[in-house]
Amino acid sequence: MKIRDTAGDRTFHVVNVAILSVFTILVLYPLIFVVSASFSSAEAIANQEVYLWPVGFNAEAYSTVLASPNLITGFVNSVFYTVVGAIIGTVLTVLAGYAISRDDLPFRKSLTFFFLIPTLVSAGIVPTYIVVRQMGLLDTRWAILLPGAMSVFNVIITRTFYKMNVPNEMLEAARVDGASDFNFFFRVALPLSKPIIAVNLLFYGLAQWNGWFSAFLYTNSPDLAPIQLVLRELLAQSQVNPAMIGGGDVSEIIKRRELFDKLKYAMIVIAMIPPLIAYPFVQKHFVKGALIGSLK
Amino acid sequence: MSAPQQVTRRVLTGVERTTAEALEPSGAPERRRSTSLGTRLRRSWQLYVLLIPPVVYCVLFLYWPMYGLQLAFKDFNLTKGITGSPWAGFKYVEQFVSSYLFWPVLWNTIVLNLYALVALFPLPIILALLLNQVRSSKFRKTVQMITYAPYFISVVVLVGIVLMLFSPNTGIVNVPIRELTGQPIDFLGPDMFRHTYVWSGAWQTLGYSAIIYLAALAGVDPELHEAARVDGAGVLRRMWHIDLPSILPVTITLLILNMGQILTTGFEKVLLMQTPLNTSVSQVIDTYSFQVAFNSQIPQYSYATAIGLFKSVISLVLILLANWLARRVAKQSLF
Amino acid sequence: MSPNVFSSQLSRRNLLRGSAVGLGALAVGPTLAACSGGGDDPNAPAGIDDVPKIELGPPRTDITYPEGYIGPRAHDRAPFGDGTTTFRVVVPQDATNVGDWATNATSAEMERRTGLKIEYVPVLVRGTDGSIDMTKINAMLASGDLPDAFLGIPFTTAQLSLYGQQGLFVALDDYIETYAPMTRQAMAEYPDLRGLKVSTDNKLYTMLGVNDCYHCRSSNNRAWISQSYLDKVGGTMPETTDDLRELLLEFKNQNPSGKPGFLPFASSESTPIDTYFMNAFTYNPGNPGGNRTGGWLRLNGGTVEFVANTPEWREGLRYLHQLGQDGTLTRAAFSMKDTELQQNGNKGLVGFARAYWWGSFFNPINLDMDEPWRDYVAVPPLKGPAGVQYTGWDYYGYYTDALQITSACSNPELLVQWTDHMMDLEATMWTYAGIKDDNWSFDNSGKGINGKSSLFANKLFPAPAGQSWGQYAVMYRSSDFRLGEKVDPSAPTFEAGLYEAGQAYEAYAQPKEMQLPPLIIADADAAAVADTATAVTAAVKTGLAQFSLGELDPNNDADWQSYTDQFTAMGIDAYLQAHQTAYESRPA
Repeated sequence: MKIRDTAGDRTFHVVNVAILSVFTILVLYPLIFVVSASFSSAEAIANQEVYLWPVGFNAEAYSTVLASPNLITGFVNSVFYTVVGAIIGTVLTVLAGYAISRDDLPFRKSLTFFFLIPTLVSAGIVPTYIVVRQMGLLDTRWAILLPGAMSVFNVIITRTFYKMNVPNEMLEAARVDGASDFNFFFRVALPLSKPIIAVNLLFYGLAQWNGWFSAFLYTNSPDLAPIQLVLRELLAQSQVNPAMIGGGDVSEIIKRRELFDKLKYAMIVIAMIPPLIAYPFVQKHFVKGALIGSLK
Repeated sequence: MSAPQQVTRRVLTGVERTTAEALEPSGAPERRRSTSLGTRLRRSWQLYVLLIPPVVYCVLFLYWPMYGLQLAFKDFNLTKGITGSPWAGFKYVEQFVSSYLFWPVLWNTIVLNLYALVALFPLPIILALLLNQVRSSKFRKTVQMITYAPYFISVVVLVGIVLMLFSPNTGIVNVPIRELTGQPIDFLGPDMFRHTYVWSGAWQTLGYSAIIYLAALAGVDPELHEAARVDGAGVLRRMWHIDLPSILPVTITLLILNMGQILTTGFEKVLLMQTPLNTSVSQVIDTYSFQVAFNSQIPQYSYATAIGLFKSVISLVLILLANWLARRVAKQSLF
Repeated sequence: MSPNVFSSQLSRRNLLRGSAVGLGALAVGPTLAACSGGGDDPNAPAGIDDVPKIELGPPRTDITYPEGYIGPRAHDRAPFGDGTTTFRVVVPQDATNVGDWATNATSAEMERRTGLKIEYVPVLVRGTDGSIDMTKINAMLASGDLPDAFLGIPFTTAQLSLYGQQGLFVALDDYIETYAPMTRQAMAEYPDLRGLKVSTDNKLYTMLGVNDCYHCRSSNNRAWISQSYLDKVGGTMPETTDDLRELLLEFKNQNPSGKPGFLPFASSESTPIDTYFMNAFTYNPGNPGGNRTGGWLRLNGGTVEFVANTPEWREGLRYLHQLGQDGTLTRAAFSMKDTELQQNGNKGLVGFARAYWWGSFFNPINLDMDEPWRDYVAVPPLKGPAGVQYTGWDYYGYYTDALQITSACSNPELLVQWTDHMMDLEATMWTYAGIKDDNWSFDNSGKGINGKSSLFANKLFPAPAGQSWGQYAVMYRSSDFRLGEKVDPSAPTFEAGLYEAGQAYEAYAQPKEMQLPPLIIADADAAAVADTATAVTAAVKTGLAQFSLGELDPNNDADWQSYTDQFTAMGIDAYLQAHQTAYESRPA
């Protein structure tokens, strides 16, 4: 059955598309700039000649990046941390989020509070470092994956989703059929929570992809460094201004600055590609009614 | 007019019911009240098994390090360690609260974050609702993808782009402004700093923040919309009565969680945008704590921990307050 | 006493004259006395018992030194390590210059020269804005995760002092006395050196390095002007504050660049303008150390005083206020970020700049003779209406981060010798310039930066990645050494240009006894001092901008009163007292 749109609805859709288009263009412009700049000559960027399209087109920045062993290692490491981190985080989050979403779980309020406290009270860098050291994780991949593995924010949101999408009636019905909590969780709740699982995978994956701090703090070996740490080092060294260093050999400053200016935009583009490739896989779970459909 | 209203209401009750259950309901089903705690614990053992991994994680990585909080009340000595250092009482908390910049810094933090919250909280919701109504899936996916991309630009580069576009002397935004008014706008000046900070943040995170609402909207039964359309409800009306209530629980959850972060700022971004002209509005607790504690001759762990603890206590109060308010006003709460 | 130490003492007068013209006889007396009388001093280090004192042999004869040269010489020194122990040394991470420390060419050379095996642990010590970020080092220290030593890590002297006294670092005076002849030579040739790094208990918890950069002594005070724009408006090099005011007005009215957006005066947020202007009204050291050391503090007859609330400061603000009213000093000078300033420079929009060097307002920049930066010449200090004309000259900035040995190290004497070998001329060349005869060579065929015969020639500086240790080694780069770099007259380097610029400022250096030397604030006061320092820094910077731009009026007594009153409210008295105490109680 096809219902005709009312005049009001038609107007809405036109206005809606217009608003979204304007917004998208606003967001798009700086992105285009970044891509154009990555293909432009350093002089053109420094002289602000790049506005929209590349000036002095060249792909030298990309060839430099691809020729740098540190950046390649970093890229590969980051892919690993992203995949493993997403899985660990999502598993922990879904387990916690589901359990405390159950109205019949004794002490669920206390447990929620238990999970919530660490978002408010952070222990600080030094004690966390000491704990990671005592667990013997320093300079291992676990030190990058574990300390930030689970976000309590995500646990609470996941809990909310389960409360919304897995109603009590469903549980009661399953109970009548003799399902245990394990059965219900794996057979009913998990299949129902595809969108939130997708969101969790995305959020944890992105956090690992964008992350550098754990690697910076807990590891020394350059072989373990994720790409963002490699980039950060490049950046940090390029920003040193001569007044900050005692020796003041300015040629050193120039070298760092040139290298960074050359690579900056290409690196953003390269770092942006994997998350953009991953997004459609997550996006397909956001289709209207996807959830309800899976019930039937 | 009256018929569609009725139908909408009938449809709504369905939505509202699940919504109300989504957060903490006012009373658990009566049936369970009567069973003893022991029985209920025994009955739920499988749920506790599920909880073991996340709880162990929390204890190891989030709670164990908290023993370090005692630093706030100690004179930290590197060789004696955290537990062996001598007690200092409330010295450091007092020092922070009575420092010359305490009030301005607290004020700046709250104003900046409240502004960001008021301006940025509704926008992803609106974006998600609008996207949800787009019929062309190609257009919808393109918009989603593009608006999500800026999230991957690092703060340093973001600030670099902002400076380049908005520079008073050479920025392309200021060129026409100077032509028209004769006076360029200093977007990092004390009058504009907060706007520049907040709206550049909007640009960067809007698409990303909308994801969670898009996921929530995926849970809405399309039949509700169909039924409402049959009854003649316009699209705005359906968004208001069907879509919005269905994401309300997530919204409230996020709002309460956000209240806990009201004293925390994008520290690196503020630092990069600070100039001597705008410190009167841009000096916030996090930058101040960093400058005092780690730019001093000797790192002041105790002082930094005391400031952090101060923030935690305020956040805890705020989150409890928000939770209480949500329960009073929206009949929903986190705990 | 070995012959070369003797000869260097004879020529110390040259050194002092060369580096500190404004130095009064009063200051010279004690330093010389303290040094030559070293042998009878009861506090002099005793050395390590039962170990013969290591002395340098005669220097190698294959190298020709410039006339009157003071600094490191090359010696043949035998390796002392047998490779049985490996030392863990924490070093700064730097992919651009050092690359992988383990496979670096200088690392191999150092092992060849000393026989000592080192495991390098690289740590990132810079934040994204380029400032020092010691987060990881602090976490390592606080958790007891100690290496054998730290090399090139930017500890503050206060940290060395406190942690040393708490037992984290090893006191090194006796080891140096026995094992480190090169270090002893550097200490003799730079009599202030030990005092700059010594802890409050008069012990040394660090090895000592020297990187005596001549132009850095005036780096906070330099300004540059475009010669061609100057010619275009028919102006002459400004000598007084009034000259400059008129010149800036000419720039503004005539716009010699012919482009919109021309800045008669330019500066960036990270280069404070007060160090240049206020020195025409009163000696102003500025705030070179950030919050780490007190900003705008100087000595007046042994009393620590704050300069930014004095009547002379107010006179200076009146002058800047005029520039603001003229429209030649604009908001941009206070709010522009470094990259913005560079973009303006690239576009030819800068007339007069307060900046560290040309690269502050040009990027990219290279050594071609027709590069636009070569048009900018240094503007010597201005003479104020009352005849004041200073350059804030840094007498104490030549020490390096060097090396600290921790209590976890079982053979400190081996690392002390390792460090000492690093300071030998040839090793110093390796660490900072890379592979010998590939990227650098000894070369006395040309003229050095200072116009004397040259000592060495560099091919590429910095060296290609993987060759050198950047500037993280314990170096002995004396002023004569640095200025002995051969200059190619067809394309003079920045260092050569900066040397010339520096000379224009040196004549106006403030007397040494006016500069507050680096101080160690007592641990108990440190938190409160840091608190006040943060508030003071913000207030001075903001006040400077507001008075200049007309948001406040320096002629209005109420504005000035509330400006000065805020310092009282911040606790400036206790703050000054803490510095005074630190100054008086520092080890002699």
